Amino acid sequence: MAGNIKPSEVSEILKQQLESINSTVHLDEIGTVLGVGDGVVRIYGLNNAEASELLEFDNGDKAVVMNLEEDNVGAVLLGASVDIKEGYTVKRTGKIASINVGMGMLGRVINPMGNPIDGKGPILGELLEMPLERKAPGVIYRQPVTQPLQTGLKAVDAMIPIGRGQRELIIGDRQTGKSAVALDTIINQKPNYESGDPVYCIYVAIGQKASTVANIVEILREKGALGYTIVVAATAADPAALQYYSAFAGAAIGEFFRDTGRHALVVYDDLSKQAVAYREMSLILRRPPGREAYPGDIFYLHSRLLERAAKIIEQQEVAEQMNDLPESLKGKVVAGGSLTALPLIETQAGDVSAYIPTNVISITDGQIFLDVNLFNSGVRPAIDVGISVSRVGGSAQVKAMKKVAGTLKIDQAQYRELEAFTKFGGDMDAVTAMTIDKGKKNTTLLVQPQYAPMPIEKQIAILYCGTNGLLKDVPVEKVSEFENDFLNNLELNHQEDVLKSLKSGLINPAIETILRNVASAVSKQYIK
Amino acid sequence: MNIGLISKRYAKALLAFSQESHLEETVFQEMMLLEKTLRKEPTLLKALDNPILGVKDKRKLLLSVVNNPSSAYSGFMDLVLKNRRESLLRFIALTFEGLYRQSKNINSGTLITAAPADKVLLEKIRAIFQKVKPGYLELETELDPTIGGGFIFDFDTYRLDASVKTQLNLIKKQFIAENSRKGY
Repeated sequence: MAGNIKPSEVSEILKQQLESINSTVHLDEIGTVLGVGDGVVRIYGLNNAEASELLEFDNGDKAVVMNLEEDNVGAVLLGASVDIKEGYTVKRTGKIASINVGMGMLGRVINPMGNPIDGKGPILGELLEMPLERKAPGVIYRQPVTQPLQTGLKAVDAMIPIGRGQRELIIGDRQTGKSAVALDTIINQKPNYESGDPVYCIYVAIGQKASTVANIVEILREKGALGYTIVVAATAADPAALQYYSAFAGAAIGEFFRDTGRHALVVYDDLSKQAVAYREMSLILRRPPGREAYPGDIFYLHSRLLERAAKIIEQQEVAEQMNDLPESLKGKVVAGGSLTALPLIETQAGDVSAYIPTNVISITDGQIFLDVNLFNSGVRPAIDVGISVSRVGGSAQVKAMKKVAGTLKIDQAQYRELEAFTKFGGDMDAVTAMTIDKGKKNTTLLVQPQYAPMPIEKQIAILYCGTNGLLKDVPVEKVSEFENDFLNNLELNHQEDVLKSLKSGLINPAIETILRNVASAVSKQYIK
Repeated sequence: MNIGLISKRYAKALLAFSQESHLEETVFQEMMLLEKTLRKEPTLLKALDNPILGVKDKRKLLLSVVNNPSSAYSGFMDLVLKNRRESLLRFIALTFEGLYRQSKNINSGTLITAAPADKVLLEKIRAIFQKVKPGYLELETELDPTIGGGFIFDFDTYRLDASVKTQLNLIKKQFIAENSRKGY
């Protein structure tokens, strides 16, 4: 009702607000719109405008300076082109494009400018202004990746481990489960959140259908993951500039957590679409096209974005001196934070040697390659272990997992090779038959349903059975049944002595004996 | 990428040529008229951009913009058409205006008010301008009742906005920002 009094309308508060109002008249620098089209405006004037500076039109719309030319300025619109007309006045703001970030953003869906789009009202709480474009931390402000970031996926945590501060690419054709791997990783951070050591997640949806974004938000809500997640959405209907800036907005939000000593994970879904949006902008701005019509700085676009993922040094006095620190963060820096990046790239017909995939592969610290054939044959997540790597995650892997799954990758590669040979027919010797049997069972063990990440201790326990041949008496089709029974048994009878130790990364002969005994007891029911 | 550079080169050449032939004032008026026409008639710019339209037709169009075009103006149009730079004519005209004003130390300004401005206000504005940028000021006045009160003074690429409308907007913005920060 209009007659209702809001809490903010108490006279004393209104008085305070009036006192703090700045009504000084400023001399603004202005320009005139010469032409507008396809999300790009050409402006006459603004002689002192800076690159990436935010401009404001009379109607409140915003644009960002992209091209500085001799007699005009090219800027990309952050709203609809139809609202801007030739002859409009545009004003410099003196600020570079930035986003206001705060804890109030958690659980919200926002656009790349930081405005909520989920209909839940304004974002509350203290907000810090973070620039969208910012230099990555220098060498001295970083430290090597040492802490693991568990994805909850057996195949990833065992063979392609990811560390906090790492950049791991998820690459594959359409409909191979790229987003599912990223979403599982977000969902798997729930125990950290509940235990008070959260890994804040930022999911950046670039150029996706609005219905897909709504679906993802709903999944996150259902799984209880929205409380520690921020969704940045620039849908396919949004201007190319917003799609281009959405990834930078995600990075800026991640930096807020990283530089305040917390851990964050940012998922860019996906960078192929961001590259396409940037190509569109560049061509309209008449920048010279290069390979596949992408502009010359497309590599720099992705490298400068992904370089912002980092593990910050533990020394507080060094971290406080971090380069390119925004004003809003000064005095608030806490050492030891991290920002992990999971960029996604969509390939066409499995071609990883195309322009954008090769660029991003070379920038990141490893890649998870999802294969369409594996996906169709029921291996999900459809990770091709042969060409998936993690270049730095190994040092962050839990010791127990390292010990248990150390040979899993090689075993699986060997199995794939032998399996190919057996397709020609002929007799097999006992060793070959055993390797193939073990490989088949391990492959089945690594299959995992969607949105069901597994805690690390359970992963170690079940993979112990796989790598040590404890499944030799279990038929392949009963492996998943065995897995359930085995893990239920451990949960009921060995919570303290086995699972707790494995969670802390400890594995010793006593634990191994228990695991062997339980496996043997469970597998007995499958012997015919 | 080179739009700015090209238009500046043409504008510089035209200014130097018109100064040598003592036609700078005439050429300035002609170029301003051309810029105004291009701004008001977007179809003219489209026609100039059209590759199907021949050079002769484009020349006719460009010369018809001004009455009795000077030799410098017509010669310049021939040069632009010969080099296929007619799509940059608006940029060239604007750059020429800037260079001409700079060479003569003439500044242009517009005063927008809600009610007709009196002489006292105009003198005050001129005085403010002289403090910021000494030189001659061509001051135009415009009426815009939507600004509510106060004034907006535009000169060069600057704006001094002391209108009631802007002040109210500013207060509104600050109120919203402050309230959302405090969580009301």
